[in-house]
Amino acid sequence: MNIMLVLIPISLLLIAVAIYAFFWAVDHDQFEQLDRAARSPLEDDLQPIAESSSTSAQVTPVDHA
Amino acid sequence: LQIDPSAVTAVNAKVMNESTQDVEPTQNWREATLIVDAIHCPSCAWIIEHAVKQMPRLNASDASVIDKPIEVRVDVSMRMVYLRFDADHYSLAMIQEQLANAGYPARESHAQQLQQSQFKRDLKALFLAGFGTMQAMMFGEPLYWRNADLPPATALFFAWLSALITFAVVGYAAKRFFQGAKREWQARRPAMDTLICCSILLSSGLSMLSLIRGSSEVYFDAIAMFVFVLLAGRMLESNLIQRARTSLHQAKPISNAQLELLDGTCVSPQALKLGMQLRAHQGETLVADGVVLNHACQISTAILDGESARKHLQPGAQVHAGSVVLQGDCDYLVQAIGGQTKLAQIAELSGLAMRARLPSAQRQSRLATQFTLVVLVLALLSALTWSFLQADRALAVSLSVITVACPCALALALPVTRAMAYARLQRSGVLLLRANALERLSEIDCLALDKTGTLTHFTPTQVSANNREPCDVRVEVSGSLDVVLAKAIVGAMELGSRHPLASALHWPSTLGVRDLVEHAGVGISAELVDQSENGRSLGHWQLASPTFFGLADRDAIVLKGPLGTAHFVVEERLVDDAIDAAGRLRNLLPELALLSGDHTNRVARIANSLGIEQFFARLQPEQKRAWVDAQQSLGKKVMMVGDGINDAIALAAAHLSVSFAHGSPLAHAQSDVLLLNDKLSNLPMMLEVARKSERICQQNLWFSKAYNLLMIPCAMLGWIGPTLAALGMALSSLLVTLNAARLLRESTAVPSATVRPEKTAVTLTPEKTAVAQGSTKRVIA
Repeated sequence: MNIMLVLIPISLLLIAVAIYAFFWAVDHDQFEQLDRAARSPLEDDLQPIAESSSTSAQVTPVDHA
Repeated sequence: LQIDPSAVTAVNAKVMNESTQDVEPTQNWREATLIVDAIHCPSCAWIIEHAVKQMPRLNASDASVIDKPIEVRVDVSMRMVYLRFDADHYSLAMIQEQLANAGYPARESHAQQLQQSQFKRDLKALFLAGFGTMQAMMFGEPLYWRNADLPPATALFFAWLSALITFAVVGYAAKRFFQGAKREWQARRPAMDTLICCSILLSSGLSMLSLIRGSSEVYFDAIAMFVFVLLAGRMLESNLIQRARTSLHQAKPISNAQLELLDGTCVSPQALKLGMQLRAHQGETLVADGVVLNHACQISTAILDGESARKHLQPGAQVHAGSVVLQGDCDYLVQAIGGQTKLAQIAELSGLAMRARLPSAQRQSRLATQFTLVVLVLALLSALTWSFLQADRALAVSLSVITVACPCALALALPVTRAMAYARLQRSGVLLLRANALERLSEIDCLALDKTGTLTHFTPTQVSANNREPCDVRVEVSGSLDVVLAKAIVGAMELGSRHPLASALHWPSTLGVRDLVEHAGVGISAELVDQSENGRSLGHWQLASPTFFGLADRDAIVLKGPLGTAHFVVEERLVDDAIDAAGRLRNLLPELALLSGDHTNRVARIANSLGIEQFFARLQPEQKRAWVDAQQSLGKKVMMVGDGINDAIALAAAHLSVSFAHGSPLAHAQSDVLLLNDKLSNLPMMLEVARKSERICQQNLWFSKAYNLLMIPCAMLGWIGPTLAALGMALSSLLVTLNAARLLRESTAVPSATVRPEKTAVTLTPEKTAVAQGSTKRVIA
């Protein structure tokens, strides 16, 4: 039963870590726009440029080379 | 279409009277909508109203004024506070401060930030409660088995650990319940938060007491679970209400077309920014508020203020989104977009039904308070009784009684169900404008439909881009009038008319009109001038039905003037989903009738193609009203659907009136329900949702009554332990909310047995003289 004296503090520590991790995640907007994150790898890198120049209808691809 | 002008003026006068009652003598009245997330039960509404009413006012020198120049209405289900106040005596900041002092931090409805932080707080609290529950159960687990292996000292140690975790949960996650209870206590209106806090405090106190005495007879894991399930319910509820609220704000009748800038480029409505210079062509709708640039134009602001007269605007004049350009291009500088436009504000106001407090909801609130008091008394009585019978169980039993009783199910049953139904209807473009429109909708057993503009429309199937000519109109001319001139004259005369027929006659025209008079129900007369020839007059022209001119009665509109006569034969087509919708309506309602002012043949054809057995043609507005009155005197609840000014008085008489956003402002003023799009399938959908919501309301009420009547006596008899009681209470309120959420589901019982005819639009031409056969008909000719 003496093992309890080790295991219980460890479990309490793990609880604290888990709660801290979750609170951190909430505070850092990890639960905002859950759908968008899944789609982000599929989006073009050009997207931000297109959005910033909102007045022009057609976006010319930027030549990075 | 024939209308008695005197009837229309009578209705007009009535509308005017109603609106003038609302207008206050002082100019400085302001309206504001606040969102208050702390509202969760009807007694909160009471507290807020009293807090606002008791506010000291600025400039209180004229003490003679007894009633305070402030009005407040609280909507519990939407968590909104609607305010109207005299800006001389109150400021919004003052009101917000007062509400914050009362424990209800409020924000204006367009702010988003607080909502976000509230969501984050809720999420953290829910996580802590859920996670804490599991840990408390883990440490509490060995206590349930009480096997010999477990030394009493170890058991006690586990109980202490369980207590530690539970107090963390109660301290952090249950904060909102304590805040709620404090507010209820301050207002002397105990309700569900009081009961929740009583049971949390009582059970933790009991458990702590036995822990200190050295017994491991504790309920800590149950307390943590109680908090967790209640929080989950609250979060679900506020999430659903949030969804309902956003769908309300999304209701803006603005199209999605590309917008043209002054420099010739195009921009999407989403990318519209302040300071842009837009050009709207003739017939287009403005999408933003702003100032007219460059040159004068003529616009109609009918959608904003119901004013049908055209407005001549010079550069520098203010224009508002929703206005329609009637003549010339309108160049304007964008000054307000999106939610800041006048149109958006009107759309927000159109949630009128949300603002009206239902007497039944107030009854519900009183019931919840009385119920709470009764429960507290019962708990006390059972504690006393048990202290004589079995003193050690007395506290546990009274704890069970408090915990198991659930006024929340009672208090939630109505507002949550209503909010869900509104959200569902809103999403399909149905706006409820009046209080208890939903309740009345569920009672409907008879439907009267207008034909023109409701079942049929005149907009052609395809219009080529540069040629705006509608393809479904035949023109027959006589005299020295030619087809081109006839079209030009009618196009000039009908410009700006909102009659559905007018949209078919909107030919582009360079002619100008003078002394345009709309004779309600008869037609239009005007003097035409040729602007290209220095305003040479073309004489006086009249546009009306054939009988008006003493010609043979036929299915056409006649233009008559000095140069001759022209007949316009307009082929109307059924609204796309009319047949489908009529089929569903026949299943839902025992009685369906078509009331039209149109030609008998035409009405018969439409009625036959839709399978409507009762139809009435050539009806005057008063005859429509008389029919509605006659049905209602037989005890039927009539729903009238119409869009024109000739329907207005029948709409006013009906138990529930429905009109279309494209219809006349006069019809809007009379309607309880506004359909934002032309889909007729909204009619059966509306009825289904209303009936379903009524059913769910009843189910919820019955369920919560049965639950409380069954569980409280059981708890008093000591059959239900505190753990089970906690589970029961939390689950019962969750069940009520989930039951109401069924309304949000898209498929509201479309009977699959309904025959679905092909969806192609049925064109009904006068040539196809296949007049109704077979079914029995009553025709007033």
